[in-house]
This record gives sequence, C-alpha cells and structure tokens, in this order.
Amino acid sequence: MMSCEQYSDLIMLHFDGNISEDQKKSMEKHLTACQQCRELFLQLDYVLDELKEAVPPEPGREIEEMVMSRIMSLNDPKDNRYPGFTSMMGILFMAATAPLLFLLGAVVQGMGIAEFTLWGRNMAESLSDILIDFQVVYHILTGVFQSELFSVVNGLHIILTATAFFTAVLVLKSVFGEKQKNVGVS
Amino acid sequence: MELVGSQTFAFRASETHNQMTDYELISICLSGRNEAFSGIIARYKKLVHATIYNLIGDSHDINDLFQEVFLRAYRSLKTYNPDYHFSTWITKITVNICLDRIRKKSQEQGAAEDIEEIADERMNPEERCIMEEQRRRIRKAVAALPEQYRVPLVLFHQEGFSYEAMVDIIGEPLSIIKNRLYRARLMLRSALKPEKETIP
Repeated sequence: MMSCEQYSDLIMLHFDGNISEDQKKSMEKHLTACQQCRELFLQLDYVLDELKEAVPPEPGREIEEMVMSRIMSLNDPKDNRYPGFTSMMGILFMAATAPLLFLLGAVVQGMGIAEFTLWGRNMAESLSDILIDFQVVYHILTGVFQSELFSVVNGLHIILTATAFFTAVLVLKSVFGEKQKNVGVS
Repeated sequence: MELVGSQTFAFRASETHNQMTDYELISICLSGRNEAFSGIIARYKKLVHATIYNLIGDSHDINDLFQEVFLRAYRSLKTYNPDYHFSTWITKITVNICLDRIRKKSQEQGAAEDIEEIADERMNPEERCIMEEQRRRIRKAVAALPEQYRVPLVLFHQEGFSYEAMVDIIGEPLSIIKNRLYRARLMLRSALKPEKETIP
C-alpha cells in the first residue's frame, strides 16, 4: 500500500508528463479516495495550467530594430573571425615576425654549435668589457656558453622553426580563410 | 550570388534568412556580415521576450534585458556549440542576465506588481476581472519564489523546456533540477492556498 507521500511523487510525475499508464491508474484511484491528495492535484493542475496559458506580450518591432542598430554599429567582424588573434595588428605582427624567425633559425643552424658557442662567448666577453665592474656577469655568461649547449641549441632551433611554421599557417589562413568560409554558406 | 545585400539593411529578416538554418545564419555573422543576425532575432525574439517576462515580470526592464540578451549572444557567437539547440543556448544567456538583474533589483525593491494580464475576450467583465486577479496572484507568487525554484518552474511550465535542456541551461545535475521543480510546485501551491480559501 502506497503512502500519500508516494502518491505525491506520482502526481509530480504526472505534471512532468512522465507517468506510466499503470502509475496513472493507481494515482487516479487514490485521488478518488483521498481528499488531501485530490486537493493537491486539483490546485497544482489549476495553477500550472494558468501558468502555461498566460500569454506574454509580444516584443515590439522597434526593439528588434534597436538591437540590430546596436549590432550594426559594433566594429567586430575581425574579432569574431579570428578568436585568439583578434586584431589586424596581430596578423601584421605575425606576418612580420615569421620571416625573421625563419632567418634566426637558419642562422643558428648555419653557424653550427661551435661557432654559436664562440659567438656566445665573444658576446659575453664584450658585455663584460662594458660592464667591467660586474665580474659575476662575465663568469655566469661565459660559463653558460662554455657548457654543454648541444641540446639547448638544437631545441632552440626546433622551437623557432615550429613557431615560424605555425605563424605562416595562420597568416595564410587569415588571407585565404574568409573566402573558403563564404563559399560554404553562400 | 550575394545573399545579403545593402537593401536588407532595414534589419528585417529576409526571406533567404528565414530559409536558413541557425548554423548557416551564425556562419554568415561570423564571416563579418552581421546583418544576418536579424534572422536569429526574428527566430528567437518571442522565446527570449517571454522568458524575460516570465522571470522578471517588470515591463520597465524587459526592453533593456531583451537588447542585452541579443547583444551578449552576438558577442559570444563564436563560443556557440552547434551540438546544442540554439534555443537552449540563448535561453541560458537570458536566464543568466535575468538572474543578474533580479539580484540587483532584490536589493532595491520587492516583487514587481505592475503586471498586465491578457484575459479571454469572450468573458464578461466580471469573469475577466476575476481571472485577471487570479493570474496576477499566481504571477506574484511565482515572482516571490526564490530564483533557484522560479527558474525551473518558468522554463518547464511556461517555456516548455525538457529536463535535459534545463540541465544545459541551468548547469545543475538532473536530480537537483527535478527536486527544485518538485519543491517549486509545492511552494507555489502553498503560497496560493491560503488566499484561495478565503474566496467564497
């Protein structure tokens, strides 16, 4: 035998629109016998039906046009098209840095590890001449460039090349991407 | 062929826009032709307006909120995931904006009282008056519910969203939403019961 609390759950299932036929028959049978549950059912039925039937006012045409006026005044298309790289300045920056990054990668590779190490040491010595009082700087810099730099130089070259490659892809996409998109929806 | 020419600049959804899917309209907007957004507004204005009206019930704020919803939707278009219905997505924005406004206003004043109801024109003046009064009481009772109960009640019983859609809109697990809707119905019934019994 189900309790009124359990029948209350069935009543809620009914208003969810998710009650089975058997559950509905059981609920209806109980409602004829239990005044308390019947009141609950009828009151909910009335209130929820009124909620559903209440017709909200229609939005006016003028408000629709106000929204569109504000949207048309927004200076945004570029923002929406290239999430993450949101301005033309960003694209120009990428276009300018891509060849530089390629060049730097090639220089590092072309110099070779020994030359790069020598270049680093010379640079450190020059720096120490300028900053003669900062002997610590000299030792740190020469120490770094005399150490095992093989993996560091290779890693640097790989990072520079990969960055340049992805930058070039993004630049090409920014130039040709829009036309491809428009073809899809025209 | 140029689908969206300058002649459609009057912000009315064109016939072409009406035939497009939501995703197509959004793609056009994202390509920089933001006039296509009028098609989105035409399609969802009733839903957004009704949701605001049912949640806020304050006619003075509806127009502001309506604009805010569509502007935020427009600015966030690139984050829209087409795996979900656009109606779910924009209702989520609507609910969030309305809740922000409710929280701000709750510090200033109580529930709005200036709500006009639309009565059945076939009724005589006395019947219409009674029905309007009953609906006003129901709306007041809904407006007085705490927001976590009011939102599922409005979304389910007034906007017709499923439980699954409400999970996406509200961002809570199904069990919590079911429980809140259950309690919201009982709270609404309790809020209306004493006054109703006094009517002869």
